[in-house]
Amino acid sequence: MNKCITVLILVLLSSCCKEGVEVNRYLLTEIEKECIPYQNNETIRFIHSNGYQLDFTVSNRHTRMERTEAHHCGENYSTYESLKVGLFSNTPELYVELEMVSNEYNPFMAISINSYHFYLNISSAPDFDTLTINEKLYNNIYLGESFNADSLTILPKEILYNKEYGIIQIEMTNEEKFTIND
Amino acid sequence: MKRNLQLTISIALFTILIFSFGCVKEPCLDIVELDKQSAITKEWFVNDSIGNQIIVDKNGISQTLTISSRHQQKWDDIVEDDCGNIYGSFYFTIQYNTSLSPVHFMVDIHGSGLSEDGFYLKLTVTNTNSVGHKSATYDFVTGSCRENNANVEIVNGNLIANKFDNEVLKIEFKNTNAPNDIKTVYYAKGYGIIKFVEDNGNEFEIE
Repeated sequence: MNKCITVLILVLLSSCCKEGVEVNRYLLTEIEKECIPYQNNETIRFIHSNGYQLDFTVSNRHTRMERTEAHHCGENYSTYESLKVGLFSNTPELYVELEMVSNEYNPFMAISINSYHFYLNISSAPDFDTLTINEKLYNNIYLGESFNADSLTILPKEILYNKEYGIIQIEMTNEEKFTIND
Repeated sequence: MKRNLQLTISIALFTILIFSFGCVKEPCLDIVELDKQSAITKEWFVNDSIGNQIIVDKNGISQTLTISSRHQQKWDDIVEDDCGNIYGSFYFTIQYNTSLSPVHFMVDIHGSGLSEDGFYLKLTVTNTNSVGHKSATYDFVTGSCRENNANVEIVNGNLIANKFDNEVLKIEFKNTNAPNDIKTVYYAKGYGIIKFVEDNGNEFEIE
């Protein structure tokens, strides 16, 4: 009987797990937050290379604290501040989401267009100092390239971005382009 | 004693009545008609030579209508009647993704000797951003939609796009929930989806 109780206590104790402790906390600086220039309810006009104009509406700009994944019981974790912004266009139906975290935690900014993802290292030097796009000069341009841009399917292939305007251009694999129409 | 006899007779009559109801003879399978319906239904399978297509919307924006899966199967002995006939069933399924718009189409074509299954084409449309979906089923035997949520008719392919001689199923949903919700889908015999229209009037047509 005593043995049974001992085994039961051992089983119960082994299923208890002390929660890990927060070892790092990464907060976004104001400068980092400004890397995504979009504000809620703004309308950003783009033009397709065939001449069609489309409007993106900015919504859901918010920050929240996230926690790194713990793979084992009791493992320590870090928390980081994440800034997310959504851009939505009705025709064509595009949902673009931008996510920025502290450079110290992850130097890559994530941009998704429907289900396609781009990662831009905006803590490094820009890929282009200047670029003229649709007769307008843009400075300090970052380039994001898609991992799954095979030439047989028409997908977003490249994205051009700067910290002042946000997304400047999305180029598809068939060379059609969506460009900011500022 | 007399009362017991009456009761026994009543129970016996009731039992005979119940058994006779349970033994109603089902009609034999109409093999000629089933073969005819099978042939008509199978004409709507998408030919193996048809692959991914480029679709262009009304504003000149291109994307790919990708066939994400295609499968077919048949069984030989699904239903057996008292006249010694057996009949099978078959299905063909094809799924499409659009490479830019968040739309997924699934088309199931089914044929069966079981009268409750019958011969039909079922279209399911899903918006992968909102995860909303809807479906409509065209019954090849009755020539109508099985649900009340859509109007389905067979139209001449030439009316949709000049390059199609085949018959086309026009599936028009009665209700939509958003301006970019799919309102109408055109499915050509042997070719598959050739065109779809959003509630806001934007049309996507294969190039």
